[in-house]
Amino acid sequence: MRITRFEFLKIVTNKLFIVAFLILWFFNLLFLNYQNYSESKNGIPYEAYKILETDLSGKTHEEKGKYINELYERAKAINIIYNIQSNAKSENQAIREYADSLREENKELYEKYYEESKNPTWKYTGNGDTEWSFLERIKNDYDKVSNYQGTINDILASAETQQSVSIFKTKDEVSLKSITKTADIYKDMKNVKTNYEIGESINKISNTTLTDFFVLILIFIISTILITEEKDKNLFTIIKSTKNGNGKTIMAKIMTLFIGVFLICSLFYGTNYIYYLSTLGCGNIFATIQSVPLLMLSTLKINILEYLFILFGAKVIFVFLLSMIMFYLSIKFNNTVENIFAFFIIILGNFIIYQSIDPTSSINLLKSFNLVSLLNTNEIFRIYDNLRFYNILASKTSTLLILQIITIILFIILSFIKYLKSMNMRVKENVIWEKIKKFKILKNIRFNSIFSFETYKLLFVNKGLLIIIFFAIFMVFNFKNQNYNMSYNEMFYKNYMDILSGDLTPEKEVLIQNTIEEYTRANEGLSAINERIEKGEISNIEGRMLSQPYEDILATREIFNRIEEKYDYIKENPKASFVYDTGYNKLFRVNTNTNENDIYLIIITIIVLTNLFIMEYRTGFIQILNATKNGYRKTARNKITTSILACTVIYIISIIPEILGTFKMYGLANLNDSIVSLGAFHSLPTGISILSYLIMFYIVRYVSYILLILIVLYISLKLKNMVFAFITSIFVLLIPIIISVLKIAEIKIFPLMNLSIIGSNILAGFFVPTIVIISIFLYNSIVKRLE
Amino acid sequence: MLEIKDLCKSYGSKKVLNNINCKLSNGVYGLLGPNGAGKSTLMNIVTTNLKADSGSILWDDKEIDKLGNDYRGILGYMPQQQGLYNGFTGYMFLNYIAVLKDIPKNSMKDEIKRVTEAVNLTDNINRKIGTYSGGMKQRLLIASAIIGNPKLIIFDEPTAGLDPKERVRVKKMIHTLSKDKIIIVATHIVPDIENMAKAILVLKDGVLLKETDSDKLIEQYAPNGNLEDVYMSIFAGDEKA
Repeated sequence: MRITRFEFLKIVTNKLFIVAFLILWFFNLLFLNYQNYSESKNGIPYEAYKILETDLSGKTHEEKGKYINELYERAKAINIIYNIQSNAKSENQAIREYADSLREENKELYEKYYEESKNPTWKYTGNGDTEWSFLERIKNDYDKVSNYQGTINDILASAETQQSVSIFKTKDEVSLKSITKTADIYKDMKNVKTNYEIGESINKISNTTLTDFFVLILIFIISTILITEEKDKNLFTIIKSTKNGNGKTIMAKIMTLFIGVFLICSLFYGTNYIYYLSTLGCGNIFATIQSVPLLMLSTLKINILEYLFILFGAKVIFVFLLSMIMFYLSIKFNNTVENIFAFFIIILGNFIIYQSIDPTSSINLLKSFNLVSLLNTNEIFRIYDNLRFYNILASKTSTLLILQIITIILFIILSFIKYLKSMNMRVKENVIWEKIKKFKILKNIRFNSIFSFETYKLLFVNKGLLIIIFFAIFMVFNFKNQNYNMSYNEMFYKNYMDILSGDLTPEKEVLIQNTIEEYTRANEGLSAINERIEKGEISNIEGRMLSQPYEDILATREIFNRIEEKYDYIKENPKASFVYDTGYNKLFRVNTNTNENDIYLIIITIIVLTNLFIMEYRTGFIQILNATKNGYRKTARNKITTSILACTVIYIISIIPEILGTFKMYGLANLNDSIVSLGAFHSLPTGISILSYLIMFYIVRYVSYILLILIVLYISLKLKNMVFAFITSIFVLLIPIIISVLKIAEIKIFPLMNLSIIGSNILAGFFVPTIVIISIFLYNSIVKRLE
Repeated sequence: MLEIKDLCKSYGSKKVLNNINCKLSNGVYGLLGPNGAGKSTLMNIVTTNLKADSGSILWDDKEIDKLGNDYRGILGYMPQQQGLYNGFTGYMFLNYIAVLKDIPKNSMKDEIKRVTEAVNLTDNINRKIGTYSGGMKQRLLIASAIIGNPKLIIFDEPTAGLDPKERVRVKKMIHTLSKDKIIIVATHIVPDIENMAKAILVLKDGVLLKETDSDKLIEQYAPNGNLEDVYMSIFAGDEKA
């Protein structure tokens, strides 16, 4: 126990751990707040859930239903009344008639809520539209939970059908056994009582990818402190030569690792729990988990409070499993590079298995018992499922928990044996790099210039190459996992713009006019149908059926407004042509300054470059550099050149997925048309094509990125301390962007720092000269002297 | 010839070097003084790592500030701190220093071979520095200082961490090198410079007390004793660390 105390002290007194912990905790809180802020602004505010939770508390399921339905009816009615009133004021006869028919259709609601609609209050969201959609969602969720018994019956009926109907007989024996088992389990759930709970806080608590990522970083640091740092400092020669330096020490380290994991999980996930439960409300925590829509199909017979504890426990188990893998690797491998590399290979392997195995496969156990899949801990409990490994069948929940614990024990034993067997635990030759060096091409590389040495330092000593490879893989992964599905409206807009593509011609004008006329006819058709309903010639149901074709036509009216606006714009600007612009607007960040790629780019740049100058001070090599002929100026110049070249690769990696993603989704048509074809750039010279502008856009962004590189180098040179320089760079470069991206405030004080603000203003006269002047100043300051 | 004239340096109100004057020609010079006497500051100024507040340093009657890179071209410096890259091999490190010293490409390989043999590192030169022992790192630093055959070499504690056999080898090497160059050796290990130093520079509280040979020092401060006794006599009760 005493050794554990000292091992624990090593972690909590480590500067890197303290700084990383504080930064990540701060970012986690920032993210929680941002999520709240963003949803309050663009969606349903957290407060709405909390107030409704309070209103529903103490009510029975039926009372809740009555209350929710009343609220929903009110919100819907007042919104319909607004709709009727606004349409009734229209100059268009057809729309006025439509308003009349709507009023007739909702006569009862209209009369009931007319007075209230004059001055309504929106208790939950403060806004009529949002309140309606909020209550609609709540009502749907309530209906879902109300139908719990029906859902269970459906599952049982479906299982029965699959077992008895001949077409399912083709399934193998184990699949049929799985169906029977699932049905048996759900049969047992029929007696579960549900009392609807909103459970939005449970939804949020269950999805914490960013927090998982932060926790992962911290446990990696802990593993490093416990093993790798001591290897680096050659401390194991002292530790292992003592009486308690072997078995007891490794057990103390594992114990410390577990305590560390538990505390980090408690602090990070605990913060999430407290935050979400306090901002979204927690409802009746003693209700069955089946009362929460998200967990309705779970077969655990527990209440919400118990579920929260179990979920936390499962997270701790998973994080400890990951930390044990990292811990074992840090004992097994001789240096950090090999360690990270091996961990990366494990994660990549898991990812490939996860992606390639079908959920119905006979080895679907490997898809679920997988580090990538386990990250989503909530899925273990959310729904009952059987896992298969050939002919072995087992319940998902218990199997995954037991297998994780077995794997943890296995890694504890492996770590124990490896530690005791290692006679000389210290940093050794980098085996992987030694093997790579045996390749003929690398053998022929000669280090004859300062540039080659600085490149080596940046890419290999500072692990820049590894970081760049990781970044590239991350960007490819990100690119592959993006949602490229277009909305119906966007699809319509794209197809129409593809037809109109190019200059405005009489034929295209006719097409647009015809479409406008078609909408007018559809409106008239609707009016006529409403008239017939009013006269009693047809029933409401018949009317609805007859209206359907017209409503289908009018469904695209709103998006057609964009085309009409474009048509009017082209008539006023003859040099402009029809260009499908959604993709370009996204690329050029028109009307948005949100681009996560900019944030990734800056983070990677800071990680890769911060140590480049500092390493010379940390090692004391600066004294030798200053005393040699090619020492200070040439070294600084070459460091800058190497940094710019390496960062150019990073820059390209960051923009390729952006361009390819936009191309994949929207296409990049009419590249040779004038830039003024895009409305946002109407003031630019007409001679510039979209392609030229695209090139200029990325060049100017590249130039401003070079300024960013110089800022990172300058900060590191001035501060000469890795931790301080890292934090300062983050604060100077990243925080303004995050604040602006999160729309917490409009930061325009120093827009040069913010790549995402550059957006469509790249041709602003002052921009490039200002960047160049500041860059020259920084360059001269850096190469002036390394003292 | 290296000439130091009226050299002064202060950190805040503390005068670290106070009017240092000396002239050095080819040979080994021992720089003696307790911690905080100003040895490191003096070496940092001579190696252009620091700027003096006033005074000047001349190399062949020309100010080193004006000579700039030409001066650094004749300089070899081995700092006390082991500023090495653990990811580099010994060979790579010397190769890097050779590039920094602007040694011609065609003679680089031979030069590395020469200094490697001089410090007895030939067998381990292709190993990563991270795997070197303290003594091996020390020898690699010595090799980095003498590579390119500089005319002025400054060693800070060159024998610290070396075994007796290596200490003798290094002392012999320094002695051999000193025939056509100026070598300044700052050390606490007084016997290391006792028999090979042409003159001893004694620094106390930023003031150069003596610039004379060891025999004269012994005669003045510790008749019938050795240089260690001289050190004890001058700095008795003075050691700050």
